[in-house]
Amino acid sequence: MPDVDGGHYFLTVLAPVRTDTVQYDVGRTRTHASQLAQKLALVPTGPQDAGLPADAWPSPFSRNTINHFARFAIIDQPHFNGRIGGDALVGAITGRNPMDPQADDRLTTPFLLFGADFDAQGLTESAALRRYTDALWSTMQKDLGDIFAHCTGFEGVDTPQAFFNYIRRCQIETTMPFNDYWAYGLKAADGAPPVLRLALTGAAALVALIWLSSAVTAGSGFFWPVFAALLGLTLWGVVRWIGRAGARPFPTAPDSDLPSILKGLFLQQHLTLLATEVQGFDDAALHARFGAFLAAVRPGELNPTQNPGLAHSDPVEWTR
Amino acid sequence: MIRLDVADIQGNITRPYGRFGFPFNRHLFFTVHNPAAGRRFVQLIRPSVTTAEPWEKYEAPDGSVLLKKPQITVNIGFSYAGLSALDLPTRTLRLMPDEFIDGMRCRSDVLGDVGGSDPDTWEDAWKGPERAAHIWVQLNVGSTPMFQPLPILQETTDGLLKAAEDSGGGVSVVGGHGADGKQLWQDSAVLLETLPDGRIVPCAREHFGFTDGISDPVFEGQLGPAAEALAAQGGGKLVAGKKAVTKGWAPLAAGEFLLGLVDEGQELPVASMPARFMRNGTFMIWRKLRENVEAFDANIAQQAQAWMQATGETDPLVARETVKAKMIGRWSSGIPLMVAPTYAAQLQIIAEYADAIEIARRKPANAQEAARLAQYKLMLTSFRYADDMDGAKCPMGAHIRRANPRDMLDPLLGPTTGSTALVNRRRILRRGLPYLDPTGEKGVIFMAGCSSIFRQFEFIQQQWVNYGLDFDAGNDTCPLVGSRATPVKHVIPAGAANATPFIAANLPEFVDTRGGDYFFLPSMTAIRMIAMGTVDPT
Repeated sequence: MPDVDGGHYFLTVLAPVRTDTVQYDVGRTRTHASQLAQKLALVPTGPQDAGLPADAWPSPFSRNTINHFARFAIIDQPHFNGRIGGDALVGAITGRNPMDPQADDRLTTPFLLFGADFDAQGLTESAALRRYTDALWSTMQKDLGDIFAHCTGFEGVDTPQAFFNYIRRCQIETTMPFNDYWAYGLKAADGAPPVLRLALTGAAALVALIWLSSAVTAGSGFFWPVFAALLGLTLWGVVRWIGRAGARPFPTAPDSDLPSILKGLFLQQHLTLLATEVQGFDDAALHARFGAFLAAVRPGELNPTQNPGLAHSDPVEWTR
Repeated sequence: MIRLDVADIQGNITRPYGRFGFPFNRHLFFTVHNPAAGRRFVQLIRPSVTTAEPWEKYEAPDGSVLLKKPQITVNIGFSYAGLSALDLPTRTLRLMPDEFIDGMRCRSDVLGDVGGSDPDTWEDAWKGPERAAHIWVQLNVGSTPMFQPLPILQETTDGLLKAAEDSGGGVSVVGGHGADGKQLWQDSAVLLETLPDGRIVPCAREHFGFTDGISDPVFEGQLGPAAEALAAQGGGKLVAGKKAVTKGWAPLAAGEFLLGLVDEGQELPVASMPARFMRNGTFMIWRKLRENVEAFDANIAQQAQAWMQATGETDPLVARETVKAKMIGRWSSGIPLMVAPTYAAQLQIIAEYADAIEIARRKPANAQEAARLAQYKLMLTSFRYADDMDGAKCPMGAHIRRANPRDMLDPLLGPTTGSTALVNRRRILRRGLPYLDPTGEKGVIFMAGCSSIFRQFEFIQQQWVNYGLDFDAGNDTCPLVGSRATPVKHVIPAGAANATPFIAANLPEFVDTRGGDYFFLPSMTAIRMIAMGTVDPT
């Protein structure tokens, strides 16, 4: 189930955008897609880079502590890559007229794409999604209402349960999650593939197949068809088995939940400050300072920590 | 080996003039108010433009030399505003690269020109959104025995100013250079040093005391075959598969530095139309960078104090020199940390190459001396970072490691890895010299040539100089030239010079931008097309 991988949920939602017209009293009209785009442009992103003022409004997604990334996009139409070419000779022989227009894919409605990845450690797929939609509903219900009001079928969604159901209805399977928290990769459980064992097993299976085929056909002349069928069946099973093994989600990366990551960022920044400050200290002074540091930053506890949605940690006082 | 059309290419692309006996350099900028007058002005300069034709046998592909070295070199460049003022066709203007159209001022966020380098604080010549510098004329001359520029520099300057004056208001010189805004032009010149025996000689240093311009890229066709093979060692690209670092080098593709030729990505660099107008031209970045020498010296003294405390080093000179070297990646002598990781090792190398260092100050007298000099230069440039991935010799965030990471960004780095395409496509020709203004202000006129300002110069500046992710340095900018939103630190990992890691903290901004722009350096053909007004002959 690629929606959940490495202890994280990778959610993909495609909600159809309404195609009726937004009417204003003064006689102005707008499309839902244009009003939706305007609303999305107004969702604050917080002071995440140097170009924004330090007091920029924080993103509503930073009001919860399970959301790693979230993005909205509007898909108006699929990109048209131009005509699919072909071999000119084949075309001439088959009488294909290169002037005939080819079909191009079109959407009957624009779609709102909502992609998010969030913590799912220790939860079932359904429970993780429900916890997330509940967290969003309780922290940014107004924004969600303003956004999804431009989407088909959102009328009457006014409870956490209804919002969860709506997201479920519009959800599509994420087939390629990007999991960045196994920073140094994951060691394969069995190490290198057991080449000798695989070769021996393969050879034994082949002998078994030959024996089985000849036993079944018993000299009736159907050996080859039966052998081919059995071989095909076996290979199909092997491919299925490999596919299933590949679909098994990655295990949860250690300390990859958002609160731990925020604490990690917090510790990293403060440890750098400490390391700079204590250069050249003698053992006693270093010990005292490190003690003050530990007491102030409390590495084993979740607080103090970096606030979600920010690029830097707030300073903490190290008492001397 | 490809043969370039050297008679069509401007000489300041292939040659750093300061190293060819032209220690004095003057930059004049002109505004075009009337296209016809502007074209006449270009036509006036056109016959004296210096090309890349060989002056010495070693520069020539077949060893033949037709030209004598001139007394003065003249080169010309055009900003986007200049090409527009000269009435180039819309088709040519609109297909120019975005960053060239934008100009340096508009790219301040990308370049880190914020705070003390904010374009609004630039010198009068560069201030204001109207971008007055349309035409850039670069003059270089030799020196009198008294280390004064040859008189032809002033004669040529006067000639240019007179031509502008006589244009009836069609062309005017851009004044307002210098902190007091009183200079009509910008001078820069090679610095001099006094040898122990009292002789005064030109040197390759800048005002912070570092030797500059050592690893200048070398590209196909820039020199004659023998000279190219030699210069490519350390100056070209590292080729994969060679164990000996002195062997695995090849010149970079010419298209990295000249438009209309194939580049390291096996394609033609992005250029406008018509192709003939862009071919054999390139882009050059012109930046006036002020060096705050007092702040730098004061900060280094502080860092040296902390270094002595942290490492137990007792000699203040050694501490100072080591901290400086660990920031830049080379000792002030130019010897790389990758060759000499400690001060003592550096002294040993200097002693070992004493004869070559002496030869480097003059011309080699014979083949034997030339070979020895080549050996010395090879030592200065021919190294890779694969055996120093913990930064024990040269810290990851050091200036030269950021500006040219060589092989170190290969994800599968090994002892025979070459430099990756990522690095090969981000090299720049450095043509600048230090300046000392009449106001006493010190700095460097930074000039860099490349076929894509965006891909090469701006990438280095934004991702490597002003950001540290590729060097495990987080948000820290280059300890020497990086811009600072807040003071940064520079981590010096433990190594032979220090048993424990050292953090040089609270580094203020040492270098800030005073002005500049992006210029197109056209080929001789393209200069002719501009002068005739026939970029689009239809």
